[in-house]
Amino acid sequence: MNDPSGVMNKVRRALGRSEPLASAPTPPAIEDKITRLAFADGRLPELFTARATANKMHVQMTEPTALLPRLIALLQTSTARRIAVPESESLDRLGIPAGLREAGFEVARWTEVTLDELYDFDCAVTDVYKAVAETGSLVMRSSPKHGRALSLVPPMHVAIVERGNFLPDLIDLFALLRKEGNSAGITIISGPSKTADIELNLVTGVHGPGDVQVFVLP
Amino acid sequence: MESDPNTQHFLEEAHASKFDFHSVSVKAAGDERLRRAVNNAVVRQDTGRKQILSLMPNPLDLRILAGDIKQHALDHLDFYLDQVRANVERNGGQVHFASTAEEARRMIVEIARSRGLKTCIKSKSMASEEIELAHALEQAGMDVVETDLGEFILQIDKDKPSHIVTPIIHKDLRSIATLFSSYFKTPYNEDPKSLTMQARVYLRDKFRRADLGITGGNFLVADTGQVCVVENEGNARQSVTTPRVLVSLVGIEKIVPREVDLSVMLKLLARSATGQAMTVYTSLFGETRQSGERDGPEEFHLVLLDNGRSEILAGPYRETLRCIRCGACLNACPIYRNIGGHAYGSVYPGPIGALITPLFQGLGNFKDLPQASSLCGACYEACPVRIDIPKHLINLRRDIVTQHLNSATERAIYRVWASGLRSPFIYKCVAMFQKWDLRRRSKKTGWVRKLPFVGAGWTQIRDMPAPAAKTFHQMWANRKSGQ
Amino acid sequence: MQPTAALFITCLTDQFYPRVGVAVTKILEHYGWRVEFPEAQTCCGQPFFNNGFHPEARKLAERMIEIFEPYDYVITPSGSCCAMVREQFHHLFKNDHAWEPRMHKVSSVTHEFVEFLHKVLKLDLSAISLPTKRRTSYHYTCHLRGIGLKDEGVRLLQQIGNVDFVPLERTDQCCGFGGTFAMKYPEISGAIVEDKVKCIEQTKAEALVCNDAGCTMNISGMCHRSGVSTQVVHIAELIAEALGIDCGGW
Repeated sequence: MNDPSGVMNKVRRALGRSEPLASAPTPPAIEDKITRLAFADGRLPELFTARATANKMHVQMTEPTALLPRLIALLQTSTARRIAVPESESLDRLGIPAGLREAGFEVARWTEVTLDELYDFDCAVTDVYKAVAETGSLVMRSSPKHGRALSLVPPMHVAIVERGNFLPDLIDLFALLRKEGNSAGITIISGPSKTADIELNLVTGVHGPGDVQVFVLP
Repeated sequence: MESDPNTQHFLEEAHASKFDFHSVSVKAAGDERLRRAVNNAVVRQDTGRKQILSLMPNPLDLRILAGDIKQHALDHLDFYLDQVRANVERNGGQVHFASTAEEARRMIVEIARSRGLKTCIKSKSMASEEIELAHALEQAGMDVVETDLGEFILQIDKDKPSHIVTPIIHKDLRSIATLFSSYFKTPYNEDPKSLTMQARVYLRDKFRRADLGITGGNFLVADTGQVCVVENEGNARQSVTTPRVLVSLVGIEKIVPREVDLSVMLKLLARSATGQAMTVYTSLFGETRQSGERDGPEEFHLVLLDNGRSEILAGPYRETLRCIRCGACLNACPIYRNIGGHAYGSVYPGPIGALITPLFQGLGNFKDLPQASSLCGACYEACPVRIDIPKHLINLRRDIVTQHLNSATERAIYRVWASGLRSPFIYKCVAMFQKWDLRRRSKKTGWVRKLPFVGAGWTQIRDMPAPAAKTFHQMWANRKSGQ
Repeated sequence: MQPTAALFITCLTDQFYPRVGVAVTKILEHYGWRVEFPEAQTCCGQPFFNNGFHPEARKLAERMIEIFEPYDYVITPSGSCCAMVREQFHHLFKNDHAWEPRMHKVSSVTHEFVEFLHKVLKLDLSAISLPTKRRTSYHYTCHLRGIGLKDEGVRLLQQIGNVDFVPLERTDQCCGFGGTFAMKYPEISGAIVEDKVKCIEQTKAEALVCNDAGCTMNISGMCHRSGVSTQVVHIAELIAEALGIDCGGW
């Protein structure tokens, strides 16, 4: 710790203490009835779809067998040719990296590219750590297999969300993170990158993806 | 609007303070274009806040809880700061406590210099504006670029932010188009999307090459040692992804005790700021690159900024440190709506600025700020952590009186007036005199067009109704005697 | 026994709008109440409190408590003075064991006029009507926030027959009065009241209901200077008119 001017002591004295507290203080209780906005028994995929759509993400509910053809069709109508994917057991299970290669796209795994090379990719197709239904958000968690940059750098992001990914409310996300540990970078994504700084005109795709597509598997 | 010669004595007082609020605010209130631009932006945000909060089942209870959580964190700040330090170090980061702005600048410049860092990408941080960090890094020979679009525009225009959340609401499209054309040496273009894409390409190149990333922090989570940053553009995410060294500068008051507290704070922050439920990106970071990872910082430095906060913590204004910098009070304030942010003379404008600017920089230097308020209470009603801003403004005014920061004449006038009011007889005499004088001035029209002395300010702008022929006291007395 | 209320007239209403005091008195009497007017009253201390002269404000507050503590109901036609007694008095008498109970007593029985009609009299004004249709709007005075009132005033207004109600844009934006603020920072206050009068002009209302003497002086003064013909009135005046009560005298 680097505290050359004794800020910690200043703070302690400001609070009228000369010694550190003997035991941990108890913060105010967070009551569900005040804080919770969505419940586990709600229809989470439907709630997520409604909220994510309102957030200007494009959401499609898709059967697993229809996923690959729809994904290919989506990418073929876009200008995307170079696609990055994480090392992901679920994406492999769904046959996505192989299927996209067969369809003629250039597909690279995160472990095969450098961060700088990723800047020249058109699209990332990823799975997600979680999806929060109430806010219509994707939650990404960084790891050696899944870089922070994947869902940030290429101008298009396609996310595959499976039923098991859903959480009702932010309360549930933070409770889960508490259990699973916090030494990774977490990002909650609630729409395409945007700004309205220039005289309130809304522009999307500023420094993150301007096109966010989500496939929800039942 | 020209200032009436009879308000000169107020202006004389203003010139005695370091910042001439009177002149600046008069100019701003008379600038129609500025008023229109500011009003359009903030009324939209304020209306959005009210609408989206009304959709929640319990917005008031949630705000009370948010306020209680922040107050608890402040009341036990020593414990939670120590917890943050331990957790950041456990995650492989380094913690630096900066007592002053100068110390913070020195620490960050030293981090950059000692690692030979050359290119810095900086995301939006009010604390970094407060300590003028970008300038210090530039002086040290670094290439520093603000990556939030609004802040980038301010940087290349050598301008300052006028709002905590939406920093360039005072700038119009044409001036931005002119700026870009001259800075990038490209043809003049007024299309907002083209201008934004031009900045995007320029900044994207900086993202790829930067070796130092600097962020602020909306919240600092004590039980995990993580910084939480919210944004819409993605530039803060870039700052924590690409550069090999990451520095987060966060005020000590930004602490929340538990990660789960974010479920309360995040439900209020964007709603209160701009009327949206969530910002596009909410990031939690503070970890360093694990083996096998190809992005994320190799080094993480948390610089905790005091710069006057511990003094406020010690005193009766501790509650003002609850502020989560959402800007809701600015958007709701009739004064801010009509003078904009620059007129407050500091990086923190609006109602919260009227409190913390004098508290940070000396009440004698900014004594107009707590007084330039109609005490309407719209700010308190808007604040997601329930800071009783009007109460603190009144207490600062009390401090101005007890510290003799206003003129002796003004103090004498109030004291004489107050003691007169303790006597019903004197009250009635003064009322009678006032009635006689004002009715005389109204020349039987019922309205006074010009008042002398301190009243001149009133009639500069509007008429004064003449008092009634009989006061209610007199009418009641007549009623009684008529029985 | 006839219920009794004491009238706290407030200095501005006393001197500039005594007809509002007459209206309030006669309306209460119409609904079966006895009104007393403690003649020793002067000022609640608000201008001194707001400007940081707290010992001076405290002395005036003590006087006010002494004068009004015999009563079970205290009614005032001004929201800001009501907020002073209900809310700010607590700051002036904090930790004063002798005065606190007395302050609480007066504070807890002080009502703003609309609040009194709504909470105590529980009036339904749809039974009364103005003589002719009148295009009317409503300004939400700021200190209603301090006493916890939201839309009670505008709803009561809309109940009255022949009130052709038109909403005021930005009804809850301050009018810019703020007491001495209007004198000390005239350009800022002027810009704010200019905004308010622009919105009023758009309503083309004949009458604007505004239940605070300070706001009324400010808004009517600006309307008159700008040539906007809307009359600014207290709701007590409209109710009196609907009841056929003359507010000009007894």
